[in-house]
Amino acid sequence: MSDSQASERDSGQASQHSQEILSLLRPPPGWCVDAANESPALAVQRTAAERALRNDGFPGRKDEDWRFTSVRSVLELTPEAAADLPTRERAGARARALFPTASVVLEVVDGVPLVPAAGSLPTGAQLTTLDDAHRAGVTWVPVQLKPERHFRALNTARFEHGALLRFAGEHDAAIHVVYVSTGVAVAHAKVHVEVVAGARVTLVEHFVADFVADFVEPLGQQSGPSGVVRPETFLNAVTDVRVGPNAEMEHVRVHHTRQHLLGEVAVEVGRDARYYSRVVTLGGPLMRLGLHVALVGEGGTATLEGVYHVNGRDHVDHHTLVEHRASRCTSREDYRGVIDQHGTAVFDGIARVHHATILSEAHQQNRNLLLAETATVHTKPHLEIETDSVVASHGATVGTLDEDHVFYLRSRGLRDGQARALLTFAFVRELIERISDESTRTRAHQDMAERLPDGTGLLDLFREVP
Amino acid sequence: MLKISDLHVAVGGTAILKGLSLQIPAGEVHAIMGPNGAGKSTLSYVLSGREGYEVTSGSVTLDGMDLLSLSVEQRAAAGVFLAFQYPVSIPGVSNLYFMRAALNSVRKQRGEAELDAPSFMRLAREKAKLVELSQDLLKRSVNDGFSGGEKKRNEIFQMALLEPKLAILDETDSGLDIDALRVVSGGVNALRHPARSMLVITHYQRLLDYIVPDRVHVLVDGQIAESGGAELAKQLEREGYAEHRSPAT
Repeated sequence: MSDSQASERDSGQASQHSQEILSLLRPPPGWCVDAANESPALAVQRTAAERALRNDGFPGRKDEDWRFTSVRSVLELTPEAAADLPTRERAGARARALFPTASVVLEVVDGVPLVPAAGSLPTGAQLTTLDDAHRAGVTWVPVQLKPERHFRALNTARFEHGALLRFAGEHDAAIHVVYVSTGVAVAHAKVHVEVVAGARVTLVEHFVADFVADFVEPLGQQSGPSGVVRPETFLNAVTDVRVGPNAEMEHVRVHHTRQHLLGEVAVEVGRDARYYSRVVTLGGPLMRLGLHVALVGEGGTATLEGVYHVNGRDHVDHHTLVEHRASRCTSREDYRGVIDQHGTAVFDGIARVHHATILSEAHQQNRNLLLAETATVHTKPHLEIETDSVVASHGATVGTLDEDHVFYLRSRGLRDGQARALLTFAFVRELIERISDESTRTRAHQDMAERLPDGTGLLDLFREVP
Repeated sequence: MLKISDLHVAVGGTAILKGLSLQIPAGEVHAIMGPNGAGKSTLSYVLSGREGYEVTSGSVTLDGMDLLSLSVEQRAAAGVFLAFQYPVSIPGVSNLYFMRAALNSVRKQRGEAELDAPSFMRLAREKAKLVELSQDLLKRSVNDGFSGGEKKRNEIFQMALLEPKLAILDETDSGLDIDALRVVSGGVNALRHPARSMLVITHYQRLLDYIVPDRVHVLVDGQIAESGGAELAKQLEREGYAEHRSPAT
């Protein structure tokens, strides 16, 4: 496409934006948030976000960060009236039932966290509504993201209720947050997580709306694999995290949903703190994660690992940014993707080392396996380094399965499909294996294997020999 | 019995094998020697069914069965086994479970019942002894972090489990020290069997001190240039392949 064509199309998009903003920004029928009853601090934030959104609009192809990802399908949606409380609670109960072995589950239905049963949170964990957190002055806008823009701004303007999860002490059992949908078209989730100084926790966010799909009323047009009628829905999920000095957090996210999902995660990592992000993305018609990690205290470390599998006509986009704002920090990033059929994957990773820092270490790597000629990947790992005192590396690969390897396995009697499934799984398995929570890890392995043609029985090969 | 008749094979339009004929009766071990580029590796790949090799004419049968019409995995089930010069490592897949899947896949294709776990374990332990493969190596990921010698021992272990009718050893001696060579050769010799044909492909005579072949063939420019007994290997070691490169008189 020539530049002139591109700009024509972009200007066309821009002119539609005002309409679309009005549409997506319009309060849903029965909008229950009343500025008069909210904390003044929150009301101020909402107003600022709304203003920013009206000024900036939504991102189009002209925005470098959104060059390969169109949000058109989302912009066409109209906010609908919220489901009633009993409906939400039934969806929540189903969400909880998906995790029978989990000790702590917070259900987020249509973006709204359900109030957990009294006493269900472990000692040292605290849950507050964001409104109350604002009143108490213990919430924050991530330092690196002022002012809020785009979908994050929309989220702030239109989230119904948010939650602040606060962790002190050491938590051995993982805390699960499960996002599900009752089928309303547009939902905004806002979750803040604070891991206080010296604390340690594993938080697992599951985006699994489909698995309660049989619950959904037949509102829409799309028919899912189980024959269930599934409406087009959009979840705009913001998770903001602060990892305090010398604290440790493992933050797992499993994106496994047919919802349109735009996720934003902003993380501040304090002095000598350790943050591990582990992402598993299994398809999605539109899945985008923006993960922004700021190392704000000396000696902090951030590990970003991600696995994605894309097939059909799915579109999956991971944008990560790690900022070294303090000295003696280390970041390591390893994303691996498998793209098949007509799927598209986007990876964009920036490691930015600020000029006033010394002794930084930043590494990033993105490897992709393209399994079909019709599959597409756009990958762009890059470093932005403003200082000499840094050890850094980055790289990206796009390849196919090694036919030498396929031949080896087939020569031992494995079917061609079996051999390919095995090698594909081996390519991503190592990263999934690092998820510490056993139930999440096992489920991610199973779900990944099931997505591979001829993946039946695959997991038996990867078991440890007793 | 392996029977190769007037086999012509091209790779990317270039003829590599140019009318190769060879018979290996069951129970015999034949060695193929020859200079680099003669077509030794091509022969091993064509026999095992690797894609990218175009058979322009000729035939290959194993016990009367047309091998060339079969896929790689079908040939494995029909009893073809290739011990690789460079075995592939597969992180995350234990040697044992891999071979159980392989053996059961082969058994299934043959219409035999799959082996249950205890029976397989007994069998694997027994076969591992042949090449002194430790329990640890059985449990570890396939060839992952194995030394050169361990990889080759593992190849022979796999061969022992799959019990092929035709075993092809492609440069099995490469990268082996004397001790490893002795263990690997010991395993191969133990697997000599009246119902099995073996084809040993090697560049050097050294391996044939340990695996003494019934016949030695010299492959030059895609054809068998000379055949003889085990002593032919020693002669080649002394004189080199120079004589075979000169135009036939």
